[in-house]
Amino acid sequence: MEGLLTTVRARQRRHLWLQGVLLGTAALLVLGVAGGFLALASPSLGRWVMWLAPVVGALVAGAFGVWLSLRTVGDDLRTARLIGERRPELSLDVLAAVELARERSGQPPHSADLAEAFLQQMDVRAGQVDVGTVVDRTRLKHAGLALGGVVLVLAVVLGLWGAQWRVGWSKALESARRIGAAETREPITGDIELTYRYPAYTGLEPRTVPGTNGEVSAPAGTEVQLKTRSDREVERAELVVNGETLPLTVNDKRELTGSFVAKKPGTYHFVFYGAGRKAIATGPDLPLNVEVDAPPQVNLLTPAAEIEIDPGQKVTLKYEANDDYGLNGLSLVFRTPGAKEETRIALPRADSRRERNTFTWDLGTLKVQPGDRISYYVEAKDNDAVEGPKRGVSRTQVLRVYSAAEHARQALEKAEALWGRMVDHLADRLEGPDRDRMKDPAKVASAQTVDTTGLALVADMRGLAQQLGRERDIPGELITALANISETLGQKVRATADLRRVYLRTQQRRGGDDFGTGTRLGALVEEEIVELEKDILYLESLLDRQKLEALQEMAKQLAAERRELARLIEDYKNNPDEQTRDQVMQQIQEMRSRIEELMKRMSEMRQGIRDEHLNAEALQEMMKDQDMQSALDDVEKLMREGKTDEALAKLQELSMQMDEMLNGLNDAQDEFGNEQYPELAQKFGQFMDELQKTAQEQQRVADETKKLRDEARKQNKDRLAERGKAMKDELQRQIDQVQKDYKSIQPDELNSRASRPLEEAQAELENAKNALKVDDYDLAAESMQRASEAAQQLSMYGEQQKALDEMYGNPDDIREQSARLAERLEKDSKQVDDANRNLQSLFPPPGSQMGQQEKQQLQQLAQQQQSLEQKAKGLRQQMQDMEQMAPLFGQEAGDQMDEIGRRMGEAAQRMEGKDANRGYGEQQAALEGLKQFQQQMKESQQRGKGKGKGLPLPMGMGRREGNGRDPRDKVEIPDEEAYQAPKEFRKDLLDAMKEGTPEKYQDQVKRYYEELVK
Amino acid sequence: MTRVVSILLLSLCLSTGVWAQDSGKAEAKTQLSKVETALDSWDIPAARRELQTLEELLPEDIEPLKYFQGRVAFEEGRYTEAVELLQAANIEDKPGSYLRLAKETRDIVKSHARAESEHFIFFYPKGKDEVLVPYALETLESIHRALYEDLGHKPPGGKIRVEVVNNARELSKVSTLTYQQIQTTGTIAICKFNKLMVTSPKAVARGYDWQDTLAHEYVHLVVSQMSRNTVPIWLHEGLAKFLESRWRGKPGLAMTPSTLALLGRRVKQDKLIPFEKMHPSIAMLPTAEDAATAFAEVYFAIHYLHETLGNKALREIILGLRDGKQDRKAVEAATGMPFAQFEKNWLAHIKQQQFPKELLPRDEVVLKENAKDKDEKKKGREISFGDFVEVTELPARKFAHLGELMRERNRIKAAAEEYAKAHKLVGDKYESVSNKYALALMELKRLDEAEQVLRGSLRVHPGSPSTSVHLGRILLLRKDFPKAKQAYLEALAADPFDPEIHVALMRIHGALGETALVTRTKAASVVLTGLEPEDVERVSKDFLQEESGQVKEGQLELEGTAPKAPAAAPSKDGGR
Repeated sequence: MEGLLTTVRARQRRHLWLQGVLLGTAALLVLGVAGGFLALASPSLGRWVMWLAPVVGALVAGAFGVWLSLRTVGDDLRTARLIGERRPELSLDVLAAVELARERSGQPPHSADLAEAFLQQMDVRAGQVDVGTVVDRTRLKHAGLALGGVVLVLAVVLGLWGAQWRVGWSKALESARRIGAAETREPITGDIELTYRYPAYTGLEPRTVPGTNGEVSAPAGTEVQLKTRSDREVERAELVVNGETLPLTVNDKRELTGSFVAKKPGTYHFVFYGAGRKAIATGPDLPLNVEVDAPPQVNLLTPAAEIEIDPGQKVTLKYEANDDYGLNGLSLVFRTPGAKEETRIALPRADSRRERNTFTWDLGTLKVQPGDRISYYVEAKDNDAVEGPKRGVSRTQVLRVYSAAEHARQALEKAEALWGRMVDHLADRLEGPDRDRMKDPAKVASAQTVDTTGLALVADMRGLAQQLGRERDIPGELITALANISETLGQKVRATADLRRVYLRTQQRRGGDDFGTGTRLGALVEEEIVELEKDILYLESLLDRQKLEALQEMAKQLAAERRELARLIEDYKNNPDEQTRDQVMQQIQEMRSRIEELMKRMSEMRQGIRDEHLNAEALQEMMKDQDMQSALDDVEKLMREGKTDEALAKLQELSMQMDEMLNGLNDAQDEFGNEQYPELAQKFGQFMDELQKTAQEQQRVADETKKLRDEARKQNKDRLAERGKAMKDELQRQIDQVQKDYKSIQPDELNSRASRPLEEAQAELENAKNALKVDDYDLAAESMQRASEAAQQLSMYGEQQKALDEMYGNPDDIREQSARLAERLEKDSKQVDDANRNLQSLFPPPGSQMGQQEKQQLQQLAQQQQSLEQKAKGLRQQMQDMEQMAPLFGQEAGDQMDEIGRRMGEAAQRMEGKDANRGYGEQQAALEGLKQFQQQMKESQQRGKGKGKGLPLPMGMGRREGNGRDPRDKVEIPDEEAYQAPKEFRKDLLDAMKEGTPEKYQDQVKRYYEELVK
Repeated sequence: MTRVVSILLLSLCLSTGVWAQDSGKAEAKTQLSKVETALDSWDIPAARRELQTLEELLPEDIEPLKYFQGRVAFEEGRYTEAVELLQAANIEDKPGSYLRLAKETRDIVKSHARAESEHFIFFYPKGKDEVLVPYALETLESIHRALYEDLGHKPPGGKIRVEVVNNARELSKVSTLTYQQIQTTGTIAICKFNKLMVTSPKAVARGYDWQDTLAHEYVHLVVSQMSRNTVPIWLHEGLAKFLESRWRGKPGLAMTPSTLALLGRRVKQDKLIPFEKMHPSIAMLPTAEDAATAFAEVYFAIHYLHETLGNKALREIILGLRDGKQDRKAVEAATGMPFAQFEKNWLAHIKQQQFPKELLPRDEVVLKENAKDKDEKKKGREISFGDFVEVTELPARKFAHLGELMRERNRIKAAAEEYAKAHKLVGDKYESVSNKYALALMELKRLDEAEQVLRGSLRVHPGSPSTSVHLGRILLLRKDFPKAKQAYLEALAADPFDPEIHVALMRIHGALGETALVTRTKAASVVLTGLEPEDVERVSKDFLQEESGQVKEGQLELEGTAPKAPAAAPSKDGGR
C-alpha cells in the first residue's frame, strides 16, 4: 500500500506541474500579446503587463505544482483520501489503513492482529490498483487543449494585427530605454573658452573661440586649451576625456584652466571635488569632434578611361589633386602585363593644397607588345604628420597597345555576325510563303518582317563597311565585299519589299486577284535567294581566308616569341649570372602565358573555318605535335640545369617545326579558294588578261590617233592664231559678262541640283578665259564647248524653277524673281553658245586639213576603236558573269566599265567624223579609266598576297570613307600666321611634279608651266 | 621460309652425324618433305600425320623436327607451344620469321575471349567485339553449309579458327604483310595459316562489310584446301568475290555499283585488262584502277562460268588445278572450249552487263588512324562540312554546304531545300548528300520522300550502314517491323557497333515475338551503351515510339555511343 501511495503522489504532482506549466505558458502568451496591444495606447502600462507576463506564468505554474499539489497529495492521508475518491471500491479503506498504520506504533484501541490482517489485505488490494485510474489525466488534457487554443487564437490575432502589435512592442521597449537614460547631469560650468593649437602640418594658425558650450571640433593632434568657471567653489577639478582623466588648474576656487590633445572623437566632462576624495559634481558629457584629415582627392581629367595607343607613343595626362591640408607628393603608378610590381614615376612635386597639371608620358621606354594593356593611375599623398601621410588615388585607367591583329579579329567577328544574319535571312526566305504556288495573302503580309530585317541587315552591312573603312589594318577585301554585297543584295531586298506591297495592295483592291504580281513576287524572292546563296558562300570563303591569314599572323607571332627567348638564352650564355638567369626564367613564364593565349586563339580560329578542304585536323595535329608548352617546359628544365646549349638546341627544333607549320599555312593560303571557285578563278584570270590587252590596244590606237591629230594641228596653227586674235577681245568680254552674271546668282535662288552645272560652267569659262590669254584656241574651244553644255543645263533648271513656282501658285514676288532669273540664265546660255560657236568657227571642219591618206588612216583607226568598244562591252559582260558567282564588282565598278565603253564609242564616232582631236580626247579618257580600273584590280588582288592562285578578291573602288588618313593622326590646326604654304606642302608639290603628269593632262600642265615662266 | 627449311635440312644432315649412318636417314628426309608439302597444301591433318611418323624416325630434340612441330602447332593455334618449339629449333626471332609470327600472335590472342559453333572457334578481343559473336558464327556456319553445297568441300580436321584483331597494326603482326602494305592495299582480312584473320570493324572509320568479308575469307580457305593451294590469284579472287554473298543468299550479290561503274567505263573506253596481263599477279598491274578492273573482270569470269555451267564448272576447275593442271587447261577441261573462246565469251559476257551511267566514287576502307574525323561521339546532330569533299560537282557541293549551314542553325525546311538542289544535281551519286537530304526530310516528317531518297542511295551504295539505319528509322516509325529488321541488319553487316542498331533490333525482335533474338540484342545493347539491362529495355521500348520529334537524327544519345558516319563498301583482302 505504501508503494501505491508513493506512486500516486509522484504522478499526481507531475500532472499538476505539467498542468501548471501549460496554463502558465498560456497566461504568459496572453499577457505578452495583450501587453503589446496595450502599449499602443499606453506604453508604460503595456510594458508593465509584458513584464508581468512571465511572473504570472511562473505563479500559475507554481500554484499548480506546489500549492495544489500539497493540497491534494501533500501527505499520506490526503493521498489516501484522493485514492478513496477516485476508486470507490476502496472507499475509505485506504484512509483507514493509513490511520491504522499510524496508530500501530502507539497503543491501538483495537486488535493488533485484526489490524495487521486488515493492513495485509489492503496491501493485496492496493497491489491490484492501477495508478492510472487514480490520477486523472483529463485535467492535464484540458490544460493542453487550453494552451493549444490560446496559441491558435493568438496566432490568428497576430496574423491579422501583427504589425500593430510589433509597434506596441517597440513602444514599450522604447519607454523602458527612456527610463534607463533618465539619469541626467546638469551643467556645472559657465561658458567655455576654447583655444585650438593645430598641428604644424596643417599650416593653421591657433584660434580662440570664446563663449562656447564646450563642443570641441578640431583635427587630430590639435591641442585644445579650455578656460571656464565652475558654478561652485571647488578644491580640485578634473577633465575626463574619453575616459582618461586630466587635471585642471583651479584658481580662486572657481577659475578652471586646462588642455588636452584631440586624438579620437568622443566626449569629455568636468568633475569637481571638494576637500574629500569623492566627487561633488560631475558635469554633462560634451561632444569632442575630431575632424578626420581626409585623404587627397585625385582626378585624371584626360585621356579617357581606356584609350588605344601605338607602341612608343606619348600620352599627355591631365590631372588634378587636392587635399584639405596639403599635398606632399604626386606620382604616376602603372603596371605592364606580366610585371610583378607597379612602377612609379614622380610627377612634378606639389606642396600646395591644390595641384592641376599635365604630364607627357613617353611610353617608348616600356617593353610592351601589341594588344597589351597597361593599367595606370595617379597617386597623391598628403602631409599628415600626426597619423602619417594618407594616400589618395585617381581611378585606374587603361592604355591598350594597338594591335593590328586584334583589330582585324574584331572586324572579322563583326563581319561574321553579319554573315550569320545573312544565313538566317536566306533561311527565312527559303522557308517563307512568297514562293508558294497558292499564296496566302495573310502569310505574304507577315513576311514583311523578313523584308524589314533584310533591309536592316543590308544597312548594317553598309554601315560596317563604312566603319571598317575608317579604320586601319582592316582587310580591304572584306570591306569591299561587304560594300558590294550590301549594294547588290540591297537592290534585291528592296525589289522584293516593293513588290510585296504592290501584291498586297492589288490583292486588297482587286478582291483576291493579284494580276500576276504574286508570280512576280515569287520570282523576285527566288532571285534574292540566288543572290544570297552566292553572297553567303563567297563571304564565307573570304572570312575563312581571313581566318587563315590571322592564323598565319599568329604563327609568325609565335615564331617571334621564340626568337626573343632564344636571344635571351644567348644573353645568359654569354653572361651567366643569377640575375640574368632569373630574367630568362621570368621571360619564359611570360612567354608561356602569351603562347598559351596565342594557341588558344589559334584553336578558336581554326574551329571557325568551315572550308571543307582545309585540313583542320592536320593543322591541329601539327599544333599538337609541336606541343609548344611542353617544349617550353623542357627549355625551362634545361635552363634550370644550366644546359644552355641544349636549351637552344631544343628551341631550334621547335623553330623548325614552327617553320613547317607556317609553310603549311602559307600553302593553304595560296591554294585557298581554288577548290571552291576554280571556274571563277579561271574567268578572273582571263578577264585580267583581256583587260590588259584592251588597255594596250587602246594605248596603241590613241598614240596613232595623236600622231594624226598633231599633224593636222601643226598645219592649222598659224591660221588659227591669226583668226583667233581678231575675235579674242570680244570673246573675253562675253565670257566676263556671263561670269559676272553667274557670280551674282544667290545660292537659294535655284534648286540644289543646279549648283553642279553652275559650278561647272563657271570653272569652264575660267578655263576658256585662261586658254585665250595664252592663245590656246584648242583648249579654249574645248572649255567653251563644256561651258556651253553646262550653261544650257543651267538655263533649263531656271525654266524648271519658273514653271514650278507657277504651278504651285507661289507668291507673286517669288514668281517674278524666278521668271527674271530664267530670263537671265537663258540670255547667258545664248551668249555662251554664241561665244562657243564663234570659237568653233575658227576651226576648219574636222578632217579638212587632212590628206586622203590621213583620212584613210583615221578611218581605220576608227574601226579599231569600234572593236575596242566591243571589247569593253565584252569585259562588262564578263564582269556580269563573274558577278553571278561572287560579289567581286560593285555597281560602281560596273559603271566605270560602262563609262570606259561609252568613251571608246564616242572616240570612234568622233574619229569617223574625221575629228581626230576630240577622238583623241575621248581615247585618253577611256585609257585613263582603263588604267584606273587595272590599278584597282591589281591592288585588290595584291592584298591577297597570292601568287595568282586562289580566291579572287573583290575589287575595291577606293570608296573608303574619310580622307585616307589614319584616323588617329593629329590634325594640325594652323595658326593665324600660317598664311604661307608650309614647307611640307611645297615639297609635296615638287615631288608630285617629279612623278610626272597623267597623260590626259600633260598638254594643259605643260601650258600652265609655260605660262608661269613667261 | 623455303630458305629456312633448306638450312634446317642441312642441319639435319649435320646434327645426325652418327645417326646419319642409319638407313632411316633417307626416309626421314622424305618424311620431312611430306610434312612441308602438306603444310603448303593447307592440309594440316595430313601434316600432323606425317609429323607423327617423322617423330618416330628422329630423336625428339632434333631441330628440323622441332621446327615442323612448331609449324604444325602454329597452324593449329597452339601458339605458346609453337613458340617453344620454334625456339628449340633455333629459329631466328626476326620480322617475318615463324617464331616472330607465333610470338606476336600468341601475345595478341592470349587475352582474347572465345566462342564456338559447330565448325568454328571465334577468338575476339574482350569488350565490345563480343557483339560480333552470334552474327559472325551464324555467317560462318551459313557460308560453311553453302560452300559444302556448291563445291562439296568442308574443311577436315576440326574447327576453323577465326581471329579478330583490334587494328591494322595487329593484323600486320599476325600476318606476313607489313603495316605499310596493309595501309596501301587497304587489306582488312586475311586467310592464311589455316585460319581467318579479320580486323575488328571498330578499327575502320566508316565500318566495312565484315560479314561478307568473313564469308569471303572462308571461300579462300575452302578453295585453298580443296585445290591444295594451287588456284592462281585471279581465279581465287573471282571465286571469293562471287561466292562471298552465299551466306546470305545467292552468289554474285556482292558486286558494288561503283566497281560496275568503273568496269563500265573501261568497257566503253575499250580498256579491259586482257587475261595475259593478269599474269602472274593482278597486284602487279600498274595502277590501282587497273587492279580493280581486273578483279571485276575475273569476278565476271566466275559469273559467266556459273551462269552457263553452274557450280559443277567451278568444282571441276578447282579439282583440275588440284590435279596439277594449268589454269587455262583446267578452264578448258571444265568448259569444254578452248581458252581463247572462253576468254572471248567472258569478255562478251562482261559487255552485256548493265553498267551505271556515270562513274561513282570509289568505295574505300578508311582506317580510323587515317580518318580525318576521329571524334568518337559525333553521332548526334553532327554538322560536317567535310562530308562533301567527295562531291566533285561544285554547284552541288555548294548547295549541300548551304544545307549544312541551315541545319547548323536548325532551319530544317531551308536545309531540305538546299539539299534538294544538291540532290537534284547529283542524284544518288553521293551518300553524304542523300543522307543529309533524307535526314532533313525526316525531320520535316516527309517520310515517303526521305525513303525514296534513301532507297535511291542504297541502289548506288548498297550496304551503307548510315543509309540503312536512316531507312530503318522510317520503317520502324511506320511499324513495318520485317522491313525495318532487314534494314537494320544490313546496317549491322557494316557497322556492328552502332548502339542504335541493336536497340532498334531489340524493339523489332520484341514486336515480332523473336524472344531469343531479343536477348541477343539486349546483351549487345548493354555492352555498347553501358546501360543497365532494365534501362536498355526502357530505351528500346521508347525508341521511335512517340509521334512527335522522333525522327531527328541523334535521338539515341547514349553514353559511349559509337561514331556514326556514312558507310563505305568493301575492299577486301590483298590476297589470301
